[in-house]
Parts: sequence; structure tokens; C-alpha cells
Amino acid sequence: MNGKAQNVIRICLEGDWTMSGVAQQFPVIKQWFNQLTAPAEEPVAPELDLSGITELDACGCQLMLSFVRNLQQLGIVPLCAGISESFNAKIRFLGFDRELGFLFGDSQECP
Amino acid sequence: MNRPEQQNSSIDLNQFNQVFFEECAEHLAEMEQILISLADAAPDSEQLNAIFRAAHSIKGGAGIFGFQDMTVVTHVLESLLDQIRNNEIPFTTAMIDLFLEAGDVIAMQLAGHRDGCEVRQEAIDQIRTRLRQVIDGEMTTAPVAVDITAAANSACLHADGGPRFYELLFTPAPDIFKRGVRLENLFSELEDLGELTATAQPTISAGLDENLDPEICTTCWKLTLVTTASEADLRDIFEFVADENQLKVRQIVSPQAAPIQAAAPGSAPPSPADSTQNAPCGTALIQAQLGRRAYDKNELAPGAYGRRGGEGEATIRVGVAKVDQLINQVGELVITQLMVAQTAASLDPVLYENLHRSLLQLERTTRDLQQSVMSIRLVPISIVFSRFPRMVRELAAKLGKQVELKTIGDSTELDKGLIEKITDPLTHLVRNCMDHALETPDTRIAAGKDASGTITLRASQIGGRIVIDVIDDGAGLNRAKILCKAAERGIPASDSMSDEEVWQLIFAPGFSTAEAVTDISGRGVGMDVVLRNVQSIGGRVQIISEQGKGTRVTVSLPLTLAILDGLSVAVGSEKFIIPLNSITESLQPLADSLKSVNGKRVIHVRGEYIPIVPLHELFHLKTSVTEPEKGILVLVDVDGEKAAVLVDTLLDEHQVVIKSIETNYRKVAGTAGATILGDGRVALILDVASLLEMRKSSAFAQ
Repeated sequence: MNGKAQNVIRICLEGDWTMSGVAQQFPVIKQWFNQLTAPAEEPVAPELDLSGITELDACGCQLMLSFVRNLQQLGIVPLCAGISESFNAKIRFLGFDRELGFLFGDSQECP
Repeated sequence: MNRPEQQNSSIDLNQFNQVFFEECAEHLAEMEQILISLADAAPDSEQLNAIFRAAHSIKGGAGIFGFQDMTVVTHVLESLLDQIRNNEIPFTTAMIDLFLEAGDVIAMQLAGHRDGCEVRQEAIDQIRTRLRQVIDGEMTTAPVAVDITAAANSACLHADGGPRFYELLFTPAPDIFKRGVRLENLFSELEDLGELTATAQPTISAGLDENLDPEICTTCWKLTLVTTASEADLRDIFEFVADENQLKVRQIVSPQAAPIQAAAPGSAPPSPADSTQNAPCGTALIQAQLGRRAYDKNELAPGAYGRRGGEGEATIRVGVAKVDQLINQVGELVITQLMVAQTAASLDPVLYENLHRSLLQLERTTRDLQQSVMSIRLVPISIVFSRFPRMVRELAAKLGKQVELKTIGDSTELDKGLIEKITDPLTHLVRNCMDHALETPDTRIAAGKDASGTITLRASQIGGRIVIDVIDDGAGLNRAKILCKAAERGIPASDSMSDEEVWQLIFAPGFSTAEAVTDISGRGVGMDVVLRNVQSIGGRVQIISEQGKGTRVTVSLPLTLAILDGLSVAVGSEKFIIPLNSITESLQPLADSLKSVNGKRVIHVRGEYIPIVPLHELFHLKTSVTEPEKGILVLVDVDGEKAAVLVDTLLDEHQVVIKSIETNYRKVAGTAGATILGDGRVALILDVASLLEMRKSSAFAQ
């Protein structure tokens, strides 16, 4: 809480996040990544809304993690704005809970 | 004085045990066949009774022969089945898997007694507990999978053997996602064995640039599992997913030290919605009885035996060695009969009319006897086919695919020796279909196909051969990628090759590995091994494939390894036998029908140019007949490929007993063995397919 104004950007990820759909999701997150990492006057605070995701598997988890981790490396810490219980459970089941742990609490910060 | 009594009391019990082992294996096979045929439907009363009878017979036999340990599982199984029969317990589809697992455990016990294999007591305890839980109503079986999982966990935690703590390091191949492997299914299977914790350890590349392929797996997993299962059980789950380098398993602490927590209902890690249990695995078995008996379709004809005509008839069990001895002796009898016939041929037919008539009768009887004896070794191919429904069912679940297995021609009979040797290659082919050829439901739907793929196993008798087709409607072979892979591996290949030639490339050793791009290749299961095994029994493998539509692998086998009908021909002073089933006709060519194409002689027959194969050149024989117009051309056809074999003259038609020339001398290219003729001379039996290959090879061209 440094008091610095933050530009909250809500990122809605939707659709098929399985092996069948990651090829279509990749350009989407790439676009978001470029937008978030572009020079800006105010630091950005992305909020990931995952409630629109219809399917998710290990391949999708890996891509999502790639997105989050790359943001983290640039000092951008996304928050979770929503995820269904079943996907939450699936992420745990597939062992991505440590890496994507921030998804499990309401608006918790990334670890 | 007591000697005779001692001999009586010391009767070799082993031979009786052997009878029990065989019967037990048959009952288990019958039980499994019925269970698999149910798919997910409830059994009718007849099927239920049959399963019950199988369990009951195993239990009874085990008790009589003193294998008390085998009565433990069968007793509980029998009790449960009895209560289901009496409508005291409702049948649920989950019970199919439970019964199959019970069958596996009994089979394990059987193998323990019969072959001295390891018997895992914990598995026996576990299945007994689970069966008992169903009887006691502690385990409701709906929904199927959840309860079985719970039961497994429960059994795991309370089994007498105690749980073990495993750590697995799973580093999947980069293309594992592309191959359609659903890791959640894999993890669900592990979870069925006990308490699973997964930790993903991803390797994330910096930046989200074009180099990042989201479909490539860059994650490895550390899995911990508390289970009573053995390491082999764990590895089994990864059988088609990881090789030895990709999966490290170690048992890290003693069972007592393992931090086990009682799994309260609902506290286990929630299964994903599309876990194994719910995975589409609508495997169905469709059987069509289109097969033909190998030797004689008329059951009542002499030499046709109706052995399977009356399944309910009394049977006796005879050792294979005795049958083989009988076959050998009959083979010798055939040769002797030929020798006598040849000697008698020089005798005056009028003076020795009775002798000639008797010899004709002897020939007929000998031939019938030979066929009858050969038929004893014939068994229906359903023995092999029946192992696939379960394998396909389980693999479909594991791989997240929907597969329908069709078998056609189950009653086609072939030699027992061939059955034993064809089982492994067929298993490899079916596994490869499952693992690589068939696409995942999503991919299939995207390609405009039905979500469920089909594997068809079709057996039939065509001419003198048994033909087994393994057909899938998967992605088909990718010509460009095979050529590319061949080039990478230094295998001679070019774009100008025909499809048929390109498909043959996948038989090159080392070609069919995980990194291979053929849709039919198997991880760790090379097509070269399949080809080698088939060729070792005189068989051939052919592939027809169309990208996007599927692949057909045809395995063609000789009817038997012991006899064949052949035409004897002479080349110089030597005699050869050409198998009759490959001969279409023979002719003496006219000079104007002979042409030369690319420097090779061909004959023009009814609009077709057929290449000439001069035997004397092939076997380096001296003969006066070197020009086709001076000799006889025997036209042969092998799987659609034709050739005209040039010989000096035709001699006679024989049924010959095949002797291995390799065992007695050495391998002779272009031959399938040798035989002893009536005059006592040895004649080589030509392997026509091999001859055609030799003709095409550069060595022969030179």
C-alpha cells in the first residue's frame, strides 16, 4: 500500500483453455501482456476474471501460468477476480495450486 | 511288496493341477468376456448365471485341488453374485470394473501357483474388502467411480499389508498434450490407488513471443501417493504415457511413517469433471460371426471334423507335444506314400490294377488323415481377439478417447502355433491404433468425424492364407512427415516413392519411436518388431493408409506351418515347389507377347505387362532353357502383385510337408523351406513374395 494510484484493468479470460483451445487463447493473452507491459504513467493492477472459462486442463493451466509468471517477472501482480469452484479444484488436482495459488482466495495477491 | 501301492499313492498330482489351471483360466476368460460384452449395461439372468457359474467352478476346483487361498476371493465374489442373482443387491455398472479386478486378482493367484509368479497379498485383501463392502452395503456403487475410488482408498488405508509412500517424478514428453493425453485422467487413475498429491513444476520461458508454443508441455510433476499398490501398478498407469526416463518412482518412507489421514467422505481431492470415471470410453464390442474354418467348410466331409460344431460334446485334453508328434508322423507317412506311389507308377497298370487302385485309396486316406490331424491344432482366432475388448476399454479411459472395437471373423481358425506368435504383433498394432492413430473426441469432431473412433479386427481365410486386418478410422499416416523422418534417420527415401513404399519405411528399425511422427508408431513398440515377428512365421504385413481417414494394416499368414499344396517344377536338374495358392495360370509364351521394358523382360497377358522372373538366374542354375519362349511361365499373384516365373517344365501337383531348411542347412533367400519328394530328393519350396522382392532389389537387377 504505497498509496500510488493504480490503473485497475480487468482481464476476462474466456472459453476453452484445454489443449484444443490454447492456440486460440495464446494471441489473446499475448495481446493483454503487451498492453499491460507497455510504458504507462500509472502502474497497472490487472484483475483476472476467469469465470468465463468453460474448459480447463493441464495445458491451459500451463499457459495461464506462463502469462502470470511473465507478468510477475515485470513486477505486475495480478489479482483474481473470479473463478469457478470446479476449476479451482482442477487446478489443485493438477498440482498448479502452488503456482496459481492466488486464484484460491478472493482477490488474493499472487505469491 | 508295497511297491505297487506306493506307485499308486505317488500319482503325479501335477497333471491334475494342470487340468485345474487350464479350466480356471478358461472360466476367468469366460467371465471377463461376458463382463466386457456388457459395456455399461446390466447383465441378463443368463449372463449373470454364467458369471456366477465361472466363479463357483473356480472356487470349487480350488478347494478340491488344495489351493485354499484361491477360494478366498472367489467365495466373496460368489456370495455377491448370488445376492445379485436373487435381487437382494441391485446390480450397478460399477460392479463390472469390480468384478474384472476380482478376476485379475484370481488370475494373479493362478499365475502364482502355476508359474510361480509373485502374488500380492495386499491386492487380495483389497479386492476382498471391496467385495465385502458391497455385500455389507457399506459401499454404494452409484455413482460408479466415486465409490470405487472411495473403496480403494479405504481398502488402501486399512489393508493388512499397509500402505506405502511413493514419490513419482513425471517428466512428460513435450508432445504429450498434442497426443491428446489427459493428465487429469492419469492422475485420477493414480488417485484410485490411494491418496495423491500433485505438484506441478513448470519451466516457463521468459516472454510471450512467437517461440512459445502453448501446446508443448514444459511442465514436470512431482506426485506423492500413499497406496498399497506396487510400483509395477503405478508404472502400468503410465504405460502409454511415459517411458523409463520420463517416470522415476521411488518408495521413500516406511508405510508406518507415511502421513496418512483418514479420508472422510468428501474430503478427498475433488475429481475433475472429466476424470477417468466420466471420461468417454464408450467401448462397445460388436461381434460378427463371419469366419470360416481353415480346412474344410463341410463338417461332414471326410477329413472335416466338426470339432467346433458341437461345443457341448465331450472333449479330452491332449498335450500339444503329443499332437505335434502325431503331425510329424503323419508328415512322414505322406512322404512314404508319395515314394510308394512313384515307384508303383512304373508298374504296368493292367497287371497291377489292384495295386494301383489301393494306392489311390491310400493317397485319399492319407490326405484326409493329414487334414484331420492338422485340424487338431487349429483354434479360433477369437482366442486372440477376446483379449482386446478389455484392453481397448481400459486404454480408451486412460487416453481419454472414445473407441468402438469391432471384431469380424472370430471363428476363423488357424494353427495354434501361429495363434501364439501372432498375439504379440496384434497387441502392438491395436495399442498403436489406440495410442496414436485414433484422435481424441475433440480432434475428431473438429475433423468432421464421429467423436468415437473405430478399430476393426477382421480375420478371414483368403486362398491358402489367413488374413488379419487391423483397421482404424483415425488420422492416417502422414506421408510428408514419414519422408522427412526417414531423411533425418538416413533411410533412403524420395518424394517419387509410391505411398505403399513410403508406408514401408515405418518398418525400419528405430523408426517407430515416440518422436516419430507416424500416426501408427508406438512408443517403445516398433513396427519393425511387428514385421519381424510376423515374418518369422511366414507372414507378411501390408499397410494401406489415407490421411485423415484411417489406416489398414493387413497381416497375412500361412494356414499352417506344416503342409502346403504345391506345383513341382524343374529348372535344370533341380526341382522346386511353387505354392498352388499363389499360382493363377501357366503358359508357354509366344515370341510376340514378350517385350522389354526398362531393360527387363515382361510378358503381355490380356492387356497387362507382367515381369518375368527367371528362376535359373535367381538361383544361379545351369539350364538349357534361358529364353522364356523355350520354357514355361508360371503366373503368380501375391497380394495383387503379379509375376511370371520362368521354369523349364511343369512336373506334378503335390501336397508337400514343409521342412525347415534353416534348421537343417541355412536360410536360402526366396524360399520358404524345403520338402522331400517321392523319389527321396529335396526340393526347395519357393516363397513367391520373397522372390518378387528379390526381383525388385538392386542386387538382382544387377
